[in-house]
Amino acid sequence: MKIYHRFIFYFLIFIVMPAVFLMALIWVPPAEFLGESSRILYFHVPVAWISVVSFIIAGYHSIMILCTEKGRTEREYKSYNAAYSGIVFTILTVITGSIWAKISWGSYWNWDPRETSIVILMLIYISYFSLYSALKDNTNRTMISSVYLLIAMITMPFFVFIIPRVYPSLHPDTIINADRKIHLEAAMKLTLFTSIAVFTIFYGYIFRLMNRISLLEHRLQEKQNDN
Amino acid sequence: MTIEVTATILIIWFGIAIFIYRLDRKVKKIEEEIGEK
Repeated sequence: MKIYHRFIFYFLIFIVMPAVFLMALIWVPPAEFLGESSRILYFHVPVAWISVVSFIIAGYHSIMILCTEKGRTEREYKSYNAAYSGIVFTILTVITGSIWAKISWGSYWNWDPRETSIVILMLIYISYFSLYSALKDNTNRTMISSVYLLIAMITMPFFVFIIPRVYPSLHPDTIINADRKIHLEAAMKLTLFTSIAVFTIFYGYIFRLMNRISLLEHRLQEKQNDN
Repeated sequence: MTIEVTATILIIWFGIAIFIYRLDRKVKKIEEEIGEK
């Protein structure tokens, strides 16, 4: 890692991130009706956003694998790592959402349409990892898993954006809503978008490191095979 | 109620920080092993 990259990283994690926490927990007023528990919004929405971004990146690299032979190995790692980070951030979304649900609705899990759809989406992506490891010795593993990831990405908008809006839900109005307006005060908007930006940068950094590790491990393996 | 929220947020923060630190260390270790910078 280059020195300035490291500097930016430490600046983000020790200065910007705590600043976001202080903004979210102290500076921002609590949301109307939802009360103090609404402060989890500034973490629940960014992790949900990152999971969607990860699944799109995984789908994008899968399309590229199917379309072009150039850099296929690298793209395979990228799609795998994107799906992996996507599932981790989806689990974080479910955890933060469950805590919020417990405070607001009185139960950690209510089988609300949004909760149910995210569980189905999680199962779809968990199946990808089962498929990927089951095809370890198969020469077509890259292509088969890419097709699966592409199909998974196509289903994602239905589970994240469409189904929860079709059925009545207890979930508060989302950022992307039918009114095309963000129902938040200026301070809340600022905190939320700062948090989303910081989490996105963190994600970019994590994703970059994960890809670097995969590539280096691949080279190490090749080197060991040569010897 | 806010304690639950704060605890969750801090766990996520420390989790991300530790995860990035571990990845960073792993990259460094493999780079040294492979003799690449």
